[in-house]
Amino acid sequence: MKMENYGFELTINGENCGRAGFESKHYVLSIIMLSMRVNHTGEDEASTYLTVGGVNSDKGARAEWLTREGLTKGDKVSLKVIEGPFDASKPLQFSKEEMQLQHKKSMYRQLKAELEELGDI
Amino acid sequence: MENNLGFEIHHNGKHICRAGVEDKLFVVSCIANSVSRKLGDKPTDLSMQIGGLISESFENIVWSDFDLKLGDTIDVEVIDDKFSPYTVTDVWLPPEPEALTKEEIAHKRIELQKLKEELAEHLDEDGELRI
Repeated sequence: MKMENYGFELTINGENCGRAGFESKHYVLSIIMLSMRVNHTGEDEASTYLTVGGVNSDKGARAEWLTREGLTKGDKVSLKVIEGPFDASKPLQFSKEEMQLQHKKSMYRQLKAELEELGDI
Repeated sequence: MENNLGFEIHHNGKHICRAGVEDKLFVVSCIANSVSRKLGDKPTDLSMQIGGLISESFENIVWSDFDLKLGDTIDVEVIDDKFSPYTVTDVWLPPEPEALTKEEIAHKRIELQKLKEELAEHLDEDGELRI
């Protein structure tokens, strides 16, 4: 049976930015566009963000095709649902071990902050 | 302060919405997903979600949520006005902090010590993670 792997072809302001998709059997592929205004430092900060990436669930490996910040008014992003062949993702990929390490670091920061707030360390 | 930025979305040429909010603090998201899962009720998912969060009121909001199929096109333009009304789907209120028991604090302390040992090579002499 033909395996149905769907990806996305992305164009930004008329420039073709590639064909993102996984050849693996199990995967999560997302194109995420964000616009936000946050205030973590006492001052409002507005930002926009576009990322194309996901996870090869069979290998437990993250993949990323594109990340772009600073979209501005009038920018145009188009995507099309496609089948393979897909472009290779960026060479930088996090292994399962690297993801576990990042998770441990995150847990460490959180626990340390909690205990410091409690005055326990 | 400059206008908030949002996204105008067309699906196969059909206008869907102008997603954006006038509120001071917010997140607006347009997310296209293609998923093939090992487990679950919905093994595959090919969809688009346009939603966000009003940070000050903790409201989750949505403009549109629809399935995609092979060949579909989505066109997004960054905009800064005339936003479409949204629907509030739920309100997430942060939980009131609960007082931890001595046992829970002790457990956290043990967990922290265990992580400290495992991450020893990534910590400086003050126990801070090196960047």
